Amino acid sequence: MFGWAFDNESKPNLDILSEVRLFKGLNKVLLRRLLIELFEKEYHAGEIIFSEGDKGKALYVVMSGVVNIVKKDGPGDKVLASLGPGSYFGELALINESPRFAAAVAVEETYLLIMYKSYFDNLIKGNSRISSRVLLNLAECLSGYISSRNVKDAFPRDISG
Amino acid sequence: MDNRKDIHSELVKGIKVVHHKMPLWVLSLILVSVIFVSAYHASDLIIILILSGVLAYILSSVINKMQSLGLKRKVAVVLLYLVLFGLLIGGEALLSPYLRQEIGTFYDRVPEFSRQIESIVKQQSTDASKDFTVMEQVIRKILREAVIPGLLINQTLDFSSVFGYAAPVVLGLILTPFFVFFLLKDWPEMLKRIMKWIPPAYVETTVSAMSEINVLVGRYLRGLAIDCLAVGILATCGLSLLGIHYPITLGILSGCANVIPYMGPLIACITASLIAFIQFQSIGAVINVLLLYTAIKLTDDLLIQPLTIGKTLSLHPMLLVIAIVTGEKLFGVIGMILAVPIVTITLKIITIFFLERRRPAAKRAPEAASRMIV
Repeated sequence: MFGWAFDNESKPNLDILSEVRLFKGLNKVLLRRLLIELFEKEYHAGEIIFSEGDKGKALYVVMSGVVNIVKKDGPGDKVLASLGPGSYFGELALINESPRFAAAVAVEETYLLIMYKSYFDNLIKGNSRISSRVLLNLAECLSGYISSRNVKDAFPRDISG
Repeated sequence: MDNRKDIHSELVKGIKVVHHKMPLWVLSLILVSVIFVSAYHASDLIIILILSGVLAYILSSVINKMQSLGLKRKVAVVLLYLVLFGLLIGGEALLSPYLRQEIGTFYDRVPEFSRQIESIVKQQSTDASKDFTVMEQVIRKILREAVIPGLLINQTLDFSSVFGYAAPVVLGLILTPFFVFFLLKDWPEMLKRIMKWIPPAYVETTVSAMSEINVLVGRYLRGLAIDCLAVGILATCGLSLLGIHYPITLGILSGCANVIPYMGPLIACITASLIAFIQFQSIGAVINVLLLYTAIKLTDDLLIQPLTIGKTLSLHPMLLVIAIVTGEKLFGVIGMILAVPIVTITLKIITIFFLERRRPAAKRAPEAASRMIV
């Protein structure tokens, strides 16, 4: 009866966000809040999202398209990973704004959600339900990277094959 | 296409010619002058736009919460407007008998108050030394400019003066809800367009600054609104307990004036003291009011502000006073109220863009940990 009053257009994005490892365990209300409050940006094919050595300021979630994580390797570049919808990158920026270890480049038309450190800090202070869950997920991911030191483990949604 | 290129090259040539003829500082000066002149002439509209922006900002968190429950943004905004409208009507029904009576009697008795105070002041000034005339002037000034609207004292009300005062208020009452509605409804779309315009290379720096400002300004404005509400309620309750007339009107005045540091609480306190003095004709009543406002100020400084606004506002007292006086000169009482939030926000923007950007980046994360993480 009141179906017209509810937002069904954001459902596909909500489904993608619910698959992001960092936001695992968050209920739909909290996920919708993230979807509303995070910045959105579309990148064209070949556009650089950030460069190697840039001061890290944000975490990115891939909602559509593909992003390559590229590291300078001698004269050329080495693709460390290709990330598809539901993947995220740049998470170290949420912890200490450290310089980017590699660059991120949009391979095709890509739509990203961007979570800035200031927003994350505010979230931690203001919402214990989101912050405890996200921090726990972040700690899990980081411990996974450290123990495995493996690109495939670090990027389980790697679509490069 | 060629035509477009020609127009573009002509425009570039034109800009280059202007640039050759005029130094950059002259252009900047002209630009700043144009902004000031336009601001002066369209001050009413600018004030309405700023007020709408502030209100939309405060209400946006409610809309976001409603939207996170699954409602469409448009529906959430309409619902919020209906609720606010209902509260307004309900509040009017509950409070209006008291408020209308208070404001009505206050309005009717303003000339009587001013006559009483003037006669007291005159009587005492003839009795006391000549120095008292300075005091009389101060009281007259407060009465004329701050406490009692100047147009009500010793002035005949002609249509043009009433229209002159009423027109911006009516314009504001119509335009502010209109602007707030569309700002609330369309903000995500506006933000998307802004994000589209920002080149990818500048997204991180620009938008992270926007995000920082958003967090700080949001906290400050919402804190300020809660702070003013708390002070208003405290003043209303305290004045009611002391038996002072017009507690609701004076409470609203105290809450609104609280936005203006130093001068605001002082204006509210002086107004309440004058009312108490006229009502009880005793210094004891004035002392009670002074003690009440001191207690409210202490509670506000030590308890309410740290909980609501926090440490986001740390401006130098001299800068605060300069901002308030400039705000008053440019836009009157509304300028006084908006001066401090505007200066705070501007300073925060300057700090974020120019000072914090100079800070060196954090040390590179250990290689082992950062090998797969960007």
